[in-house]
Amino acid sequence: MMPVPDTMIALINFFSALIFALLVGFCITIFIRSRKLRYPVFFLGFSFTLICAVSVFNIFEHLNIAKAMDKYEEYAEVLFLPFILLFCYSWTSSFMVEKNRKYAQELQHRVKNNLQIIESLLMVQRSTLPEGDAAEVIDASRRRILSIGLAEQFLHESSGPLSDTSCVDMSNYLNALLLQDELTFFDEGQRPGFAISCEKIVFNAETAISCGLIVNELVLLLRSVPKEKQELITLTLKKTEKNRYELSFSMKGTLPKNDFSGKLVEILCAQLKNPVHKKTGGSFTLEFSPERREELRWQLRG
Amino acid sequence: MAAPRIMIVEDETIVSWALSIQLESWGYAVSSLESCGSAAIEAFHRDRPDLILMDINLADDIDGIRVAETIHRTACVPIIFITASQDAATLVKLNATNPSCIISKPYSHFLLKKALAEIFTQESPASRARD
Repeated sequence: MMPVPDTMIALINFFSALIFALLVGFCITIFIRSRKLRYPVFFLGFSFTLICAVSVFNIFEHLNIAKAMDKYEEYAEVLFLPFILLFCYSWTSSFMVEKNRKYAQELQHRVKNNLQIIESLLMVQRSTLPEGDAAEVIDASRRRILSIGLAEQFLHESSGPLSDTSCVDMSNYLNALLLQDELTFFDEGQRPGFAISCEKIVFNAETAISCGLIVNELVLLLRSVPKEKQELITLTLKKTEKNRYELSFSMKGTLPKNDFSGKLVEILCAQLKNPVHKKTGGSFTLEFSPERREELRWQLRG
Repeated sequence: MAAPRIMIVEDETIVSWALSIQLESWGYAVSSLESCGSAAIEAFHRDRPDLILMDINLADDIDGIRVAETIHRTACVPIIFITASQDAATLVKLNATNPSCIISKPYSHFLLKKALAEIFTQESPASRARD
């Protein structure tokens, strides 16, 4: 039987140690929920296990094969260098992730500040106008800004799968939006009752804002419906089939017509991917895919 | 009974202008509009407002949180923070100043009106006299 060369044994041992270290690294990663820490912890666990494994294999090596010890140390020195580099790289990348997170936060901060400035400008102008159509239009625009602002707020509070600051938990958002709309659109005693049924769904910011603005317009339409004709209004958002969602808004009676709101809803629906929407009597149903439509072609009717 | 006096600390002049119009339309008096932290502390000791509406990022080095901490060391005045910064670290710092309310920008006028009404209803004349 041909003797196995020392180098071969050393290499086999080393690759065994490598696989073992990788496994340990992955196992540790399973328990780390923070994206920021996942890579550094993986490489820390991986490197530590590799060093330990190399030492352990080295002892066996030393017991069984006398000359392998010196060679093994040489391999260990040379092969350990890339892992130090990988470890440094992982720290750098985690630093970059943190930096990008801060940029995103700053960007959102600025978006919200700018929304506030626009809303304040409209408010100042509104204060110079008498009650009437112009004042109504400005008030409606201010409320739309608040709806967008609310989505921006929920971007921070979401813990969706994309990233901490890129998606919105729709259940929280729609609940807060309807509460805000109810309180700001209607006077006390005139407020309709809303029943919300929303599955645990997370959308990206664009889709969430489109849905929010659609709901906003539908609630705005209710202002022209007398309180006695408003029964419980239901808003539902659910997943219908693979990657399709349904947003429905229904009330007893008939949803009032408003040319501008109707067109705005149509445009907002067109922004979504593969939208199918219908409005019959007191109900509005919109089915869509969650991504934003890449190419937007729409034409206003009328 | 005199209208409650409110100091607005906000570096965006349009926002503070709109706030002052809104507050006056609700029957409150605006004691002063400040855009810097240092000027806000000075104005507070001069005017002794009944409430402060505070932004976090101000025109100078002193931010709204430091202004609130400084003012709370010498006086017990309700402070409502109106801010676009809603990250966890900022919220922890904000809560440490014991604010009456934190409202996110762009703020809902209804929420602000409600918060003001609640604060001024809770505040007894005795506690206001003590300050």
